[in-house]
Amino acid sequence: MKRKHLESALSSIQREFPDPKITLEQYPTSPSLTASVILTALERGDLGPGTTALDLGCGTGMLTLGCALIETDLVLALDCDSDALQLAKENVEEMELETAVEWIHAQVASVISSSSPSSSTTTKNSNKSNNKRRFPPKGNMIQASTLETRQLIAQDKDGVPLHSRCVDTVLTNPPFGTKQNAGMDLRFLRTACRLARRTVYSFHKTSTRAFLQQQVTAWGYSFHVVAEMQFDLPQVYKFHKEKSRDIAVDLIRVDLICMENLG
Amino acid sequence: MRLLTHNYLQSNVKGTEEGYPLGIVPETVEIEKSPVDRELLLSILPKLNYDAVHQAVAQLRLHCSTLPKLPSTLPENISNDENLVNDLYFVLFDVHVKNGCLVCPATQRKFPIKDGIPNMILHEDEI
Repeated sequence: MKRKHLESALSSIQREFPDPKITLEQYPTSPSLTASVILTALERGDLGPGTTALDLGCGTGMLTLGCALIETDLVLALDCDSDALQLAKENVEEMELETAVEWIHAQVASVISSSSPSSSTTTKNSNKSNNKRRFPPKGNMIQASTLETRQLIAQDKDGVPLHSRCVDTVLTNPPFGTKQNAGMDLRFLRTACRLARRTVYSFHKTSTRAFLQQQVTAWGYSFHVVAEMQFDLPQVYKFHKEKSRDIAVDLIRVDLICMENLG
Repeated sequence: MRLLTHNYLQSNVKGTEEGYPLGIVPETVEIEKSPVDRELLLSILPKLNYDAVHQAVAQLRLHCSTLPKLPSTLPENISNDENLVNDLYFVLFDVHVKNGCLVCPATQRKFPIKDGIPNMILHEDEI
């Protein structure tokens, strides 16, 4: 599918949040950004026929629609806001793509806890040391600590009711973790890495790049910045004084497959 | 919610060792026949947990006797078995659980399904 066809199909839907919820940092992903991520993933074989995808925090369903438009076998669309899900569902039905999409009302927990009491102390310690560590350890240490971290991530109770490695690709335009949401961007990314078999595509503020790269590398995955872009955040909330505000955003890709070979 | 989704869902309630597969208690089930997409079925089937499909269909059959009975294990070469391909496509893609609930096998916590969307939101003390 050509880029302009994809963009114009995505532009035709009613994608606004009628009543955006400030705590969820709701704003729509624009058609052109959506087309960028979808076509990048399609080219690499991460989306399209023969693949399954999850849109984590689907909002009005722009990424979901993008996946469905390029004939991804199945798209799971998950959001914690039932109004957003309803709107996304209408958008998908309007384009007659509903056979490719399934809906889940669920939430990425704001606190991550460990599944069993016996491992909770290990999790805490390990998180602590990961946060403190400025540089990844060298040699065999990388592999050992990576495997341990991977197991801990797999055991995480992140509130999302899906089993680990359940879809090929996870796409997410997470809350950027501003306001009361500190850390939400990282939690979305962590959950996305738990659920995908091959790749995660995620949008993050460019200012958080170094920190995220360090985290993702510590989990044992490879981190790539696919594109740098400007998000034109419209004035959807009262506290935004300017009409719209451009912020620098990275589209990142996390590759999970290379590390599967390691393990 | 189609059985396709059921296959992916698990219960994450605190204290759950094995929250998969979820039980299904249907209230409203709608059948929306669509043309069998053989290629799609054969592409997605290897990614599904067949035991969970089998169990879900057995539970739905109590409510909706028109559903086909599936073999308890998947034969090796199903692409040659046209009837089975059609049956599997039908149960996975055409059967919609509109209302009812999903049940955690470990804690019996019920997750409501409303207008075809399962509500898996946990309370703070369940995480």
